[in-house]
Amino acid sequence: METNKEINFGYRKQKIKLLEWEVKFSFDQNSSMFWEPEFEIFMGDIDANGHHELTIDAILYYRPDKDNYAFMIKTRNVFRVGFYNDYSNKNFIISILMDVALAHTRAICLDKNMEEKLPLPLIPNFKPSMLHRYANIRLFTPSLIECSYERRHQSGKLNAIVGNMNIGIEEFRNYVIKFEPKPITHPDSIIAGLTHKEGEMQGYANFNYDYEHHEGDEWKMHIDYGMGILPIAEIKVRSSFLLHCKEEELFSIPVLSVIIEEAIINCNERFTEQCKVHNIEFDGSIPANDEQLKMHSQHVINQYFGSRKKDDINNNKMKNDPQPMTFGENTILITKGTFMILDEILFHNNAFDHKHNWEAVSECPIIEPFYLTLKANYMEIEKGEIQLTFFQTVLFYLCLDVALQMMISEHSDKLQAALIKNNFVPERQKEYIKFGNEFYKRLNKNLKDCGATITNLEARRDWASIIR
Amino acid sequence: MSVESLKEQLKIVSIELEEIIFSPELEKFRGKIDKISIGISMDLEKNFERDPVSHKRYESLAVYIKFILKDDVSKEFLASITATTQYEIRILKLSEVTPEFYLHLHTIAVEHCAGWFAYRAAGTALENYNLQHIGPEQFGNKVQEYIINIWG
Repeated sequence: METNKEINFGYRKQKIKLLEWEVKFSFDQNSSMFWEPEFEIFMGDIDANGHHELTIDAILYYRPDKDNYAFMIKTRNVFRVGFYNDYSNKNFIISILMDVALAHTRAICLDKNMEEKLPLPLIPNFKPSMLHRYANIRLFTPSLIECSYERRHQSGKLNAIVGNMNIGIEEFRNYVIKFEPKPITHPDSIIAGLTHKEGEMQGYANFNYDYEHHEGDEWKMHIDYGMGILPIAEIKVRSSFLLHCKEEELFSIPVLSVIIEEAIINCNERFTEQCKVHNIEFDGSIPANDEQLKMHSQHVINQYFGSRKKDDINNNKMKNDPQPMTFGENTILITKGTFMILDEILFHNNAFDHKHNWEAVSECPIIEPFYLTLKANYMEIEKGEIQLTFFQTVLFYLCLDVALQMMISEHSDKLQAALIKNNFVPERQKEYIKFGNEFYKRLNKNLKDCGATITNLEARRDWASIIR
Repeated sequence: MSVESLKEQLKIVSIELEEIIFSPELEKFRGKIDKISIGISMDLEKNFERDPVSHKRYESLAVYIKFILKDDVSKEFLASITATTQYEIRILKLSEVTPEFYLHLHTIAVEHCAGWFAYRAAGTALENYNLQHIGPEQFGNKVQEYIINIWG
């Protein structure tokens, strides 16, 4: 079938990397052998310029038959893609970039051939129609690339007036932290007595926040807004905003009201969208009202000036002594594995008691908004060195400790289905345990060398017994 | 005939990774390169071949690409890469060859350079640098002229 499309898009390559290659058994070139491609594709966050990060792992197998392969090569290709608001051609554009990823792999494979003196034929040109089919049926498996959160809609520009100042607010990211259908058969709906499809409904909401203060007057404000409608579903969405303003401007009713209102709108939109994805018929919403906005804003202001600001002053020294962390396969494995496991026990996997587990880890203090900020920062590691505060470093090692204990305890069985689905296969799990333990020991040694004493790390908790 | 249909019929028969050179002094630039100036040379050569079995004639298209990378401030040479991608396709009429198809032939050839460069640059001061693709602007307003020169 012919396709004739006018498409408008731009891309820029961020990374091309050989990830893996393997000669499984010796082979002679013969006409029955063939190349077969496979792709793992992930559409990541959107940046301030409205560009998406698209990661395409291209895996090429050289096969004697459909069940075996003699050789495989896998490359990672990271692009920045501008769709210019034209998402109707998204799959078509992805298929073009799959072709580009294949070209990279073809050249790398050829060089590898020469290095290793392999008798491999050239990876052929795969037909665009075939790549289109792949792009159309692809699964955005939230695998090792991005763990379990998903990219949401485009960033927006907002503003608020404080006194005579017009404060610009840039929404740079929003994503679903968790969505859980709660039909009439769900325990929460049963407990609430809402067991009739056409009957009464009950709505509830929850609110939390975190912020990051960078050099100068740059602030990142994260709003975690959750809402539930029984007997329909429950959702939690994080909306993140970037501001350049003074402390007293950010922590003011006008600015916070704008930010929180946008977060509530996002949450409602995502709720509607997720209901569609899960085939749930519902088109209602819980809109924000002025009283609610004022109440949440005042809560943030009180908490900031009452306690968090003082904590920040005490943390200043830590902030000035950030721990650099650099890109490396093991680091990425440890980082992504840790958050994948924690996401399961805290958000996604219903074999775990999420409420209990949050209460347990909060004592550390792995508090939900801190955890989400930590995860977002660590996920940047693939793009290069990240600078973490001392507090974040300690928090990560606490998360690592929990995750490692999960993997070597009986809890591991409950995690397997999700981990394998997310491409965290047993071989990677073994590496994770090995390198993760080494990583953990290294931190303890570093801390001791610095003369630091971190009680939370020194007295290791028995997470296998605590987590339920 | 759409560009997609022509792409379906295109065969990549060989890539010659001809030469990749990194400056022996590349390490001194580590972390100091603000901007890289890029020189690019491209050429497309068309020949007719005949299939030895079917005796049918077909076109052999060779796209030659060379990138030269220099530090934009000092103008010192950093690296260069040269590769040629050889395609085969049935004999094309001038009216069939669109600027999009012409660009596609070059794009894939450039991406071969990009893949090879990324692999070889790993561990050097240029490891985070990627050779970017070319766009129509690279040819100015002469694409149609080039197409006529080759297929006319």
